[in-house]
Amino acid sequence: MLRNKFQKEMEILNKELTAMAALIERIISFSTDALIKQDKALCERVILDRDQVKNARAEVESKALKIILMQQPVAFDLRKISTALKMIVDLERIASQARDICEIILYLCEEDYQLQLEILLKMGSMVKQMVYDCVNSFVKEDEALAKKTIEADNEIDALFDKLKQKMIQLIKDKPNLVDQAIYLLMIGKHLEKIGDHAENIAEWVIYSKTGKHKNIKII
Amino acid sequence: MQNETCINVCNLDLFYGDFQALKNINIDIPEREITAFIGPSGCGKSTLLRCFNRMNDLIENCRIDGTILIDKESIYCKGTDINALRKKVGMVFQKPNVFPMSIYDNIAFGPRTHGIKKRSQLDEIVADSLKKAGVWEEVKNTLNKSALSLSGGQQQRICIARALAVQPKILLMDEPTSALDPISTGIIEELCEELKKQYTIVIVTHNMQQATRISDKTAFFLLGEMLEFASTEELFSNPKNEKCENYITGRFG
Repeated sequence: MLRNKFQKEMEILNKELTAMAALIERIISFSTDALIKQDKALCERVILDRDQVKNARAEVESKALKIILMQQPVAFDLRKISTALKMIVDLERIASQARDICEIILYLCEEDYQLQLEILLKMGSMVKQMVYDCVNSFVKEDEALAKKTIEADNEIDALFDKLKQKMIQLIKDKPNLVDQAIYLLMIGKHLEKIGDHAENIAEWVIYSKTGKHKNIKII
Repeated sequence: MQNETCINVCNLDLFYGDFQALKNINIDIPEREITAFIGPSGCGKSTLLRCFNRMNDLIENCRIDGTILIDKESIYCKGTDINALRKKVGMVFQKPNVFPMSIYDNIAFGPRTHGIKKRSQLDEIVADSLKKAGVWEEVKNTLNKSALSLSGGQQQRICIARALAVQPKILLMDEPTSALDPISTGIIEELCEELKKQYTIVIVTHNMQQATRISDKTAFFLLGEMLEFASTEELFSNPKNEKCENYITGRFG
């Protein structure tokens, strides 16, 4: 294997993945902004803009497969490229979760919020950071950062539980708010799923460093 | 399940004059498996291979310390019968080196030197060896033709057949496909897979994909030392030695 050429190809792959992650962070931001501002136009933009993520995914995929074909990597190199192929599946799913959030927001744009958005917004900014961190942990080959992402997911889960309890109580107390409560709870669930996908990515980054995925040896 | 050890190397040092070509090598090569030796040029892998049938004896100023046991018997003691050893441990080289004689005589050469004269017996050995080497169908009607008239890939299989004709136990292969095209290489690799059911194979290769494709175990050598020896899958996925990782991922070499 020609190491210099391999290194260059890997740098391009890293750049493409970073760009894909940035795109997805932006989509998450759009969806939380749309939630605050009840901005229909922004929601529609996110919903319609499927191609950008799809194209970014296809580019990384083809780059990674080409490196395998042309360079026949082994050991850590092979794990790293396999990880890239795994990551893009989760990244694409994150984007579709964000689109689902925007579809729900469309139902919420007509009425004033009767509830606090505090927990949801906290979850939104946290998952955005998780997406940034997990992709960055891949690029920098930083196991500690990947572990941090996995820990952050526990907080997301706790926040979602808190949200759920609040919504249950609210529905009991004010049955007239049941629609809004359910929509917001669904948004919370989507954010929680985004956290899970970021956690998946971080698990694969740890695999690329150690050869073990969730403590099970693969290669 | 681990196969029994066929070749046991213990504290082996080898010197060419003042130059130490092998440093304290310890390795147990299992029987009926393919073991690959990899490492950059000059690392000692071919030197070690040549120790297994004492080809280094021919080199002046070559000195060896330590022991090599084949089937638990030392091959470097005073009573070692070199002819018997080389019958037991066959060798295939980088370039096909058929003798300038007919295909038949190439294969019959070894058995004849070991005293087999009967035509029918020789016929049987020749056919059997050529079949095992996967070249019978291509040459069965032209056994009297010069072996030199064959293609490189066919010649290499003639050399393998010639080695098999004396019923060896071990086959040493020193870059056996480096002079061959990808099709002949593929044929020989498939052949190795078939031969390992019966023979212990040790192969030196510069082609790392070849090592991953065909070998069960791989040993990595550098500057006369064996730095890592593991199952091929383990060595190429999780090398323990940093220099080994650097080598297989193309950082040097």
